Amino acid sequence: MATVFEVLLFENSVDAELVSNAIFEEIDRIEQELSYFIPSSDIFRFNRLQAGLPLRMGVSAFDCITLAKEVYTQTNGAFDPTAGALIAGRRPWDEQEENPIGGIVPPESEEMAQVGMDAIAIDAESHSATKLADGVTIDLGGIGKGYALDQAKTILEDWGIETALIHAGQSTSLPLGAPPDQKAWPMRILDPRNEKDELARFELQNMAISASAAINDSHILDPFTGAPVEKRLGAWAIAATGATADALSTAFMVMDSENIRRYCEEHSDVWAFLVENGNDRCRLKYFGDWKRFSLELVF
Amino acid sequence: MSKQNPDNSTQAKNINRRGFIRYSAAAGAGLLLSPALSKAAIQQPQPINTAIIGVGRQGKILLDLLIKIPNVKMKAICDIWKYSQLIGERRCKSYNHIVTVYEDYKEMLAKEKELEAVVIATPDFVHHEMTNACLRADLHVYCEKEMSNDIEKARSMVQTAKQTGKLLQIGHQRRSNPYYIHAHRLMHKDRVFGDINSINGQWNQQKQIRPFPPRLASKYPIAPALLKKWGFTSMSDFYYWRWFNKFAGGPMADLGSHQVDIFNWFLEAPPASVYAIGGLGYALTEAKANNVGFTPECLDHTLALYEWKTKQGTVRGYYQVNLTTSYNGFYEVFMGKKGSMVISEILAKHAMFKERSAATLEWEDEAEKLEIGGEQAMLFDPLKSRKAKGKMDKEGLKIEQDLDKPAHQPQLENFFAAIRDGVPLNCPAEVGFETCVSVLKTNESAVTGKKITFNSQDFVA
Repeated sequence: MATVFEVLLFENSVDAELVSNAIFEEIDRIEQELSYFIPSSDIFRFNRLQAGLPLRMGVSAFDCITLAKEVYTQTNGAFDPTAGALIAGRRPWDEQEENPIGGIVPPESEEMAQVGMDAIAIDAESHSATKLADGVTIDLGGIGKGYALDQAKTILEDWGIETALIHAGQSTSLPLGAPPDQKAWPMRILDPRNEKDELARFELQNMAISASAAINDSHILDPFTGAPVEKRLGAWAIAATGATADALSTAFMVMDSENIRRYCEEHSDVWAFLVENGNDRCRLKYFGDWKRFSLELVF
Repeated sequence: MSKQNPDNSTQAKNINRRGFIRYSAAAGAGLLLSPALSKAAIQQPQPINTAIIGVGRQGKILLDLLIKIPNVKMKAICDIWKYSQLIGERRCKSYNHIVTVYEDYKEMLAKEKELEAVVIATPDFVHHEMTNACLRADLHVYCEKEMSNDIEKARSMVQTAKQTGKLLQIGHQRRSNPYYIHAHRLMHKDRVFGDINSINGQWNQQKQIRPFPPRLASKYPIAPALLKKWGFTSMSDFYYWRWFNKFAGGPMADLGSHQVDIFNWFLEAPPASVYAIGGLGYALTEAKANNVGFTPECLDHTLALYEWKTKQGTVRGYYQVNLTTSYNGFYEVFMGKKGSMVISEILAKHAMFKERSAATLEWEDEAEKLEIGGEQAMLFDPLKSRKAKGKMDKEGLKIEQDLDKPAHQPQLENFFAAIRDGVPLNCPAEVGFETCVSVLKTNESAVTGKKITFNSQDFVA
């Protein structure tokens, strides 16, 4: 998943070390199923299969694809893990080493025809997924980190550990319980253009938060056009699970503000925070009742 | 989080160099999968009702594969530890397998009357007891290696399989690994390396020894009476069974066994002699420093010299297994008159070196070239180098189908194919027994300091 996972605990050193090891082993196991690049992973194998051939998947890969389809539908395609087809050279078996970020992809192009979760059918009984068109590929990087945190949470619960903060590269976090003498875990939202600048503070516990932002040389592609998203500097999503928050933060980078507001109204367990370009300073928007998180704007 | 991750593109470039073989193989394999999958989808054979005994670290790896193998239905899981039961049951449930959970395999055998197969992944010292009971209960058995930490107990497993006529597969999963199968063909069918004259190999993997997690001990305790019933004196005994001679065969059995099995398979003979040295020091220091509450007994490193009498002559080799260092990981090397080969479950270690005097191979131009340690090498691609003898055959097709599966999956699938379709087991009990004898005698040599010369009867069960 090409990121650094971290587990913060208030435990004695032996349990802290051993439960962390157990969590990292589980993340490695998940990576073996979800990886876009590991040849034995379910996703790698799925991506090279012909259309019409079902592939039985492991629990993690199937759960992530199922949730990805759900969020894809709920966001009208704004979260789309098949959009990687829009980037030339993403498919490693093509032997292409260059990986340019494309501009606008013509709507009638072959690449656009290979995009969309509607092109993947799933069967819960057999835990199988089938692509409905050749060339469709899926990259679960936009949901896998959050999913891994959810599984880490299960391990912590199994061990009877109620207070912890687990995060994936600080972009997706799952704060559990509260540190000693605090009501919840203190969180901060930083300016994507300059991460030294704080934009907001809030408190969170037993829910996940995920961030998406176009920082440094990275890009988020608009699955509707194939072009890098420019309308927004960053988007944060709070949800009950890491996987959902992970997927929604990506979708919220792409969706219009009005659609995000409507989504949060329709989903009372989802909150959004957006940072957009303003004239001389960035513009903040947030949807859902953030008072429950004691939101404080410091912008 | 961005969709275009710079790390990923770097990874793709790295993969492109040595991984090219993988992707070229992958591109063709999709096409070849088509008929087999379509046929399977149409026929839908009856599921094979299966149970697993032992859902610890290795058991979980096997269970994750078992639950997704088509037409295998998990019906029961068995483990003496509640935490393993919890995880095993959860994994099964997440894949729509509704299982009954048992603490005692005897109760499971008494109550589960629809079982056809059992997978055993418990500590070595109870393999024989459980395997023999399952075979006598008219069940086919897949038993993890090492068969046993006692040669006579391992022998009893082979004999019971013969007496009952049930299948007994031993979990030397490299026997079903498509790269190993392909390499075996290159060596024996295509004679690419000429007569093999020497071999070597290693498995170096430093082991950290930590106390039993206090939280797990308090949340999921095993009652002393239950521990005693299964031969353990404490939770540490149970959790760290691999460090005790009464339960296990040490790293030679845990790790080295895989590679000794490869040596025997590729040389088509068990060893003629072994002389080994070994010791226990690092593990004692680690255990004491970390206050783990037990004293390791098994050797933490062993170095062995072997001789094999093959059809082509005597082959000599050395092998080392170290839990004291991770240097250079694990691999096997075969050296022959025409060339040499490095092979491993770690694909990136694969390479073939040709002697200058050897003739050009039919597929040599197509093979990816490498430079390793200043030596010219090339990859042996299961798709390209299969062309050495012309057209694709049935075995070649199977190799392609298995190319990208997780390490243990082809071996498990071979077991179920043997039950359903009668295909030969890739590692039947007799073969596993040869390896077990080779390994346990290596331990004996390391402990006594004496060279052991085998006679052919040693390997007969």
